[in-house]
Amino acid sequence: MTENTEKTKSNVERDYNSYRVILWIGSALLIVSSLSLILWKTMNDIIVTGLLLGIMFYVISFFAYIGMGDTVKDERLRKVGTLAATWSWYITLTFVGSLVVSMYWANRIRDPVELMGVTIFVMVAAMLVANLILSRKGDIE
Amino acid sequence: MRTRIKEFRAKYNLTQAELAEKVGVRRETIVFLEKGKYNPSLKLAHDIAVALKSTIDDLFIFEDE
Repeated sequence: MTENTEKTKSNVERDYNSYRVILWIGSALLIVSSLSLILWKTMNDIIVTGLLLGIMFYVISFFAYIGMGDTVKDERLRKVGTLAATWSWYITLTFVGSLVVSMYWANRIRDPVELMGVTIFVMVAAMLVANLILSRKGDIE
Repeated sequence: MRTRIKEFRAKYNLTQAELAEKVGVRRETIVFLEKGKYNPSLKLAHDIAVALKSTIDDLFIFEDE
């Protein structure tokens, strides 16, 4: 084992917990903000600040989450993160496709603010649910 | 796949958490490994073998499914 690996070993749990806390705060902010957009169909300073902070927290911790940073050394967690992010992308894309169909052909016009809220909500919720399901499994491939 | 990680861990009086820290993974990963529910990478298998003063062949037993 290399010296670098030795150095990071004792920090695995602490690093994992710190990035996980950031990701959970970001997720909570995005969920609450997106639900506010869906319910009230309007933006205000508080909602926009919540959205931007949530996005910022995600941007900061995302690469650690999918294992591209040096933070998470656990290979299983890296796989869980990568697969959860992939599922989230797939579900969001499918959802946006269904929105396009319902808006264009079924003529169900929606408010742009509501659309943004729904898309963000689906994306974050899909990632969290996928993460929860996959982290309970041993082999995730 | 079966593993003898638990047996070797007991031999060296290591807890799951201690082994996890030695090889740089979370305890849950060791739990799944011991249950034979997770196939580790060659690197992780090697690190565990080194930590348990053993070999990959001794620790991981592949059986026809």
